[in-house]
Amino acid sequence: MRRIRFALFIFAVMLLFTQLSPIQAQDSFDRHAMLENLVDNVILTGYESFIEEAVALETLILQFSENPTEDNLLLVQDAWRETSNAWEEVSMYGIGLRLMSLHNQVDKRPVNVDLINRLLDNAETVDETFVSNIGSTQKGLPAIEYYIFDSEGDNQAVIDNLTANPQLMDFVLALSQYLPTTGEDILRLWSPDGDNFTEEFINADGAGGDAQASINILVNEMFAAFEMILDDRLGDPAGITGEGEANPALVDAPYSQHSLARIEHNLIGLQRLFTGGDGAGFDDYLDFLGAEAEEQMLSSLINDRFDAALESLNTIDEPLQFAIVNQPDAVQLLYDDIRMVYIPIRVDMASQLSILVTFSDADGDG
Amino acid sequence: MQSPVHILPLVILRIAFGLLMLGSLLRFLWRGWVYDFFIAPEFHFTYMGFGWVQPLPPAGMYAVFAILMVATIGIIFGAFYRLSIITFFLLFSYVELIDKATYLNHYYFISVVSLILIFLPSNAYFSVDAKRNPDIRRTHIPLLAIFVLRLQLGIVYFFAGFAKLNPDWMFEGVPLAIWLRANTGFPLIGQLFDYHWMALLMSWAGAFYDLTIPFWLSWRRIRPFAYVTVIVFHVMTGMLFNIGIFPYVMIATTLIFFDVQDCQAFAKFFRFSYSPEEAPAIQPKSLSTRAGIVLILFFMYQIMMPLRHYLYPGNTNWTMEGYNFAWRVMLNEKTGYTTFTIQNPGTGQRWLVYGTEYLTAQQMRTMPHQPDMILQFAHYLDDIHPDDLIITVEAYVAHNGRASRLIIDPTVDLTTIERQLWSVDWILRYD
Repeated sequence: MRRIRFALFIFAVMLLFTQLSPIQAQDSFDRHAMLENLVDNVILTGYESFIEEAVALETLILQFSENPTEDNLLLVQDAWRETSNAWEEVSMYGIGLRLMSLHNQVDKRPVNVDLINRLLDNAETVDETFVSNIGSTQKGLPAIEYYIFDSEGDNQAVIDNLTANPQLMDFVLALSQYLPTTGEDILRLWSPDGDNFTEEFINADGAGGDAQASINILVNEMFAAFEMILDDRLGDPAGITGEGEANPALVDAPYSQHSLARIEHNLIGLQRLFTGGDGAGFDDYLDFLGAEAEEQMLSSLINDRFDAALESLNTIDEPLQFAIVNQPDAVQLLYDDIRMVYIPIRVDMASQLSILVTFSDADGDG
Repeated sequence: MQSPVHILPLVILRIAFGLLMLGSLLRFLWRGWVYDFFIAPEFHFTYMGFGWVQPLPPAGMYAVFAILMVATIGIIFGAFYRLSIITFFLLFSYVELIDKATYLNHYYFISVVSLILIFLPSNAYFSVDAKRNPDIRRTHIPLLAIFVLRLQLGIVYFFAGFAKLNPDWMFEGVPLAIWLRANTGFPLIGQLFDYHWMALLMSWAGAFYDLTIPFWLSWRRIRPFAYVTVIVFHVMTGMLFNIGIFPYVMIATTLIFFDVQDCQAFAKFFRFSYSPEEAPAIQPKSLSTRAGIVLILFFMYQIMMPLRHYLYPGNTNWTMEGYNFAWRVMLNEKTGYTTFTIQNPGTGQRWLVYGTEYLTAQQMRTMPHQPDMILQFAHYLDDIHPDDLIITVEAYVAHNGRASRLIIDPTVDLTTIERQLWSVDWILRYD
C-alpha cells in the first residue's frame, strides 16, 4: 500500500511539473499563436482590404450616377473587379451561421434578376434600407455585376439602361452602399469591441479531431473552397466534371468575364491561409511535425504547387468562358494543377492534423 | 467445464448487454443515423456474397429499429428471451450487412455476442420467463456456458493486441502520436500528448493491456484491479476517440469475468448480505458431441478470421485485404481521396468523378482508402450509365503519417475487374 501511495505521489509530482514547466512551449507547437496570427493578419486584414475596395466602389458608383460617362463606368467596372478580388481572398471565412449569412449578403450566386424586377416594381424608396430588407440573391457583388457589365461588352448599353431607369441607378447605388456596411458588420462580429468571435475562435485551439476546434474548421473551409473550384467554378463549366460537356455559361461571373481572376484570388487567399502570411501558419505547423512528402517537406510541396497553379492560371490570357472553348488544354492543365494542390492538403495534411471532415457525424473504430 | 457454477454472471451480462443495446439503438435514432446510413444513400457497399441484402423502404427501416428495441427489452427482462435474442441477432446483423461503410468492430462484436447468447440459458434466472415458467428456472449452469463468453472476449482483446505488434505501432508510436497531438486539451495529461515518448509509452501500454488483460481478469486476486484498468482504458479511449458506445460495450461484457464469489465479496464490502443459492444435487447433463463439434468449429472460425490476412501478400493495414472482422481496432490513420476518370469510348467524352456526387459523407470517409470499395463504386458508376465505360482511378492514401501514395494502379480499367476473394494485382503494394 505504501508503494502504491509513493508511486501516486511521484506521478502527481510529474503532472505538476508538466503544468509548470516552461520547456513544453518549445516541445510543442503553439497553436494558439498560429490561430491568433491567422485571425489578425490574414482574416481580419483581408476583410479590411475588402471594405477598402468596397468603399472605393461605392464612391465611384456615386460619381458615375452623377456623371454617367463611359470613362466613369470603366472606373466602376475596375473597382468592382478589385472588390471581388479582395472578397475572394476572404470568402472562405464564412464560419458558422451568422458569418455565413453575412457572407451570403456579399456574394450569393446566381443573381435572381426576375425577383429584383418584381421587388423594384413594388418599391417606393430604393435606398440602403431597401437593400437590407431583400434576399441575398438580389444583392451583393453578383447583383452589382449584372447591372454594370454587359455580356457583349457593350458599355453604352449599360449606361443607357441605367440612365433611362433612375430607380435602377438608385438601386445599384444602394447596393454599393450596402456592401461596405456588410463588411463592417462582419468585422464587428469578430472584433473585441463587438461580438468578440475572435476570442472564442482563438481559444478553441484544441487542434484537429474535434469538430468544434478552430483548426478543424479552417481546414474544412479550405476543403470546401477547393471542391467548389474543382466542381462548380472550373470543373463543370469546362466539362471536366459534371456530364463531360463544356458549358461556359456556368462560370461565376459571366457578365464581367472576371471568373478566372476570381478563382486566382481565391487561391491566393487559400495560400495565405496556409502560410499564415508572414507569421505562423499551417506550413509552420506541418514543419514542426516533420511532415514530409516525397523528397521534400510537405509544406514546401504544397507551397510549390500553389505557385505552379497560379502560374498556370496566368498563362491563360482570356476570360475563362472563352478559354474553355479556345484553349481547353491550358484549362485542363490549370485544373490538374489545382487538383494537385488540393490532394496533399486533403490527404496528407488532413492525416497529419487528424482533421475530421465535418459533413456528418458518425462513430469510427476501424 | 461441466461443473456447475452459479448463473449470476450470465444474468448480469444479459441485463447489461440488453440495456446497452437499447441505449445504443436510441442514440442511433436520435442522431438521425437510420436516415443517414440506410435511407439517404443511393448506393450501398454490400459485402461479397451478401449483395442480396438491401435496405427496406424508410418505414421498413424504422420498423426494424423499433423491433430491435422491443427485442432488447425482452432481453433485459428475460421475457420471450429466445425469440428476443434471435430476433435481435438477425435484425442487427441484417442492418450491419447493408453497407460496408458502416462497419465497426464493435458492431461485429455485438453480433457475435448475441449469437452466443442465443444458445445460453440467460433467461433461466431473474427473468420474466423463469417466473412464468418455473420449470426452466436454474440457479446453476455448466461453467462452459460462461467460459464461452470469456473465451470470446479474450479472443477479441488478444487479437486486438496482436494486431498492434507491428513496426508502426511499436517503434514509431503511430497512429497514436498523430491522434494524441490532436487531443492536447485532454484533462490533466493532455499537454504530455505533444511528446513523442508519450505516444510510444501509450502504444506499448495499449498493446500490453490488450494482450494480457484476459489473463489478469482470470486471476481472482488481481481481478478487481484489472477491472479498474478496464474501466480506465475504455473511458480514456472513449474520451480521446470518436468510438461511440464501444468502450461501454467492453466495460459491460467484461463483467462476465466476475463470478458469484466475487459478487459475494462485493456485497460484503458494501455491507449488504447476499447468499447465493447452493448448487443443486442433480448435475446438468453433459455437452453432446454435436454441440461440442459446433463449439470447436465456432472458435476455430474466431481464431482463423483475424489471422486470414496472412494469406494475402503485403501489409493488411495498407491493402485492407482480410482487414475487417479481425478485431483490428483503432490501428491505422488512413486518409484518402479518389479521382475517377471516366471515358465513354462510344462518344469520346471524358470526365472526372470524385465520389461526393453520389455517396454520403460516411461513405466518403471509408471508400477512398479501401480498394474493395473503390472497385465496387467504379462498377456502380458503370452500371448507372447506359453505355459501357472505361473507368480508372487516381486514389491517393496517406497511411500513419507517411506521404500520400497511390493505392490502386491508375492505368487499370476497373470495369474489367471482377471482385474476388483472393489477392488482387491492381492494388499497389510498397513493402
